[in-house]
Amino acid sequence: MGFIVESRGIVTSEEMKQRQLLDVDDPSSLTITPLLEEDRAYDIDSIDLRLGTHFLFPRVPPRAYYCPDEDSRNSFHMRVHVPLGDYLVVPPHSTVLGATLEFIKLPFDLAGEILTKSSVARTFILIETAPWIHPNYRGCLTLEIANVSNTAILLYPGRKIGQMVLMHVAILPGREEKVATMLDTTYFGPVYPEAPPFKNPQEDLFKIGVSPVMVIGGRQSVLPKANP
Amino acid sequence: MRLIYARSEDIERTHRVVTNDYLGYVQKLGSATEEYLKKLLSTPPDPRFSADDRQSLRAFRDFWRDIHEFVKPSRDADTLHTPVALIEQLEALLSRIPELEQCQLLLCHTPEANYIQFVRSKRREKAEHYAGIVSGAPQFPHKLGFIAIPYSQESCLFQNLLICHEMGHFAFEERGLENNLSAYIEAALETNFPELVADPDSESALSWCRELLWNWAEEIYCDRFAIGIIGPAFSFSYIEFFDVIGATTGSDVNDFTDTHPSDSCRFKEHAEELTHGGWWPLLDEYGKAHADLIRQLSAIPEDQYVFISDERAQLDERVLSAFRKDVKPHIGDIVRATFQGTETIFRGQTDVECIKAVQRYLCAGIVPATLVLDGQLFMPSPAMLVNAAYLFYLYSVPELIERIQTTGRERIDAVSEREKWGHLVEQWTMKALEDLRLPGRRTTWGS
Repeated sequence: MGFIVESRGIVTSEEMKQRQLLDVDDPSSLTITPLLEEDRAYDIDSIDLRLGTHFLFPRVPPRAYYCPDEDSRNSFHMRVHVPLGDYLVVPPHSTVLGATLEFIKLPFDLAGEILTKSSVARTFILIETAPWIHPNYRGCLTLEIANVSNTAILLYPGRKIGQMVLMHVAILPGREEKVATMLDTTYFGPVYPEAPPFKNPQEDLFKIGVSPVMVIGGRQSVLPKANP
Repeated sequence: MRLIYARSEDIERTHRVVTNDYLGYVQKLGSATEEYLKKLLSTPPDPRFSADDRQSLRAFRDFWRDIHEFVKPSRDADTLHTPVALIEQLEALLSRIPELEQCQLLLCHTPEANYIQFVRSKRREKAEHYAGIVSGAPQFPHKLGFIAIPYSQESCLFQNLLICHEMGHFAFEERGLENNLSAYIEAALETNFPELVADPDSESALSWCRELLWNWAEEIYCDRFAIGIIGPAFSFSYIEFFDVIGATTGSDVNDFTDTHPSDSCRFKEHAEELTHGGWWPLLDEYGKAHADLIRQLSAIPEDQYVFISDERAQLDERVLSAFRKDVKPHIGDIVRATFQGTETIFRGQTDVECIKAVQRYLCAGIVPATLVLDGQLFMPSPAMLVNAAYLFYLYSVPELIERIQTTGRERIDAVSEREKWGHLVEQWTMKALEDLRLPGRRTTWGS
């Protein structure tokens, strides 16, 4: 195929720092704000991220099940704000959605991954099950925090919880401009943890030719939308 | 009474410290009162003091009725349901003003679609009276502004800039500016109503005039104060909240009420305060429609202002004239005396660059807390950030949508899209306000 790539592999902290000084309109620019304790934030190949102050706690559902559908976005979680200086108790074997304190904007040619900080992981707190961050992403990263230990654990917003590793994406020469403008608007610019925006299962499955679909209450079909 | 103060919810971790402190005050007051009442009941009644005791009990009931008004709305205003980052920044701006250092704002909710500042002087007096009866009663909190916001605006940013006006009422009271204003009002009464001043039987008519002059003057003071705190963003929020767009041709634009001056009069004062702060170049470049609206309203001749009172029809025109000629011209000086040079001003090209930078970040969908210019990291001042973001929200959201959306131009005009992206702009700005409070290696823009 013959990709011509100037940089490969994991992005170094030096490159991260350089990219953060680029103009905001430069598609190669990286934004991480706020960047606290900058001198101690970087490792050679990663940057530490901190826990934000907003959370979504799963509610005890009003029904005996949780169905990821259009109605689920606002019914499954309860918003909680824990200001800096306070703590959140995560009960044993419980989950909570959180977000990074830092707002991230990735360049068009870098993808990233967020990992639990090793010291945090050793307390059996996991922060990510969907760790991949696409190029051009912007927003505070939603963290799927799980306490898999047998004891309740206190989490302090503002403390380091994860580390982000960035990788170069090999983009075909001449495609840079197009890739630079490709923005995913599904999770665009969140500053708080976000619940997933599901469609109803019958709509999703209709797209692959499955209809009707069994939902609670019986089988349902989706009527094809008329062309305007 | 116990049902008011001894509610068992754990609010320590869901509310700002200032709310906890206030509710702690209420709780201590409640406990001290209970002790007092227990003692009173256990003492054999002495008919000589029964009138005093009854008076004390009446004072208690009266005071707790006041407290009742606050406790539940304060509990409702937890940190999820108040614009905490904005309030903290406004407190910081307020604290720059001489004699208002370390002032705090206690927010509560109101079912009214309006913003309210609760006058504390009477409450403070009552609290002192109360403490004179109940030994061990705590001191009424100092330097605490009580402001109610509509519950529907709980976590909005831009609309809640109307809080700045209520902060004006607080500053007016806290700084004891009644004395400054009182001199002008009494002089205006003597000049314009000599027959009432001379006639002891006209006291009620004179009081009526005095009250109107006070009400209008304080409202104008608060508007100008708000612009001194946050700049033209206050005018934008006023225009949006009170739906002033298109009001230049409305029939009620010149109407004074018993409590408030007309919009035309208020915006004349806005315009003057904006001139004092040097904000017009910014408005003309980035907020033309709003600049034009403010200019049009302020250009309405003062002799078109109207105040009609059924209560004292023979005095209404005269009191309005007294206000225009002998009270209003002095309010700007009282505002200047309050700020003593600490107001937010627009510094020309330096701030234009900052505004541009903030708007470029917002247009890229990025929280504008750390700005890069020529390879250096900067942060905007909170006031400049808010003004830049508000102007972006008012004028440039379609630009953002155009940049982000890929499915066709028609979506740019869709109300739902405007609402969604406008809301995100507010959230990014709020997040930036939050971040500005944190330390970092950024330098303040233009410093």
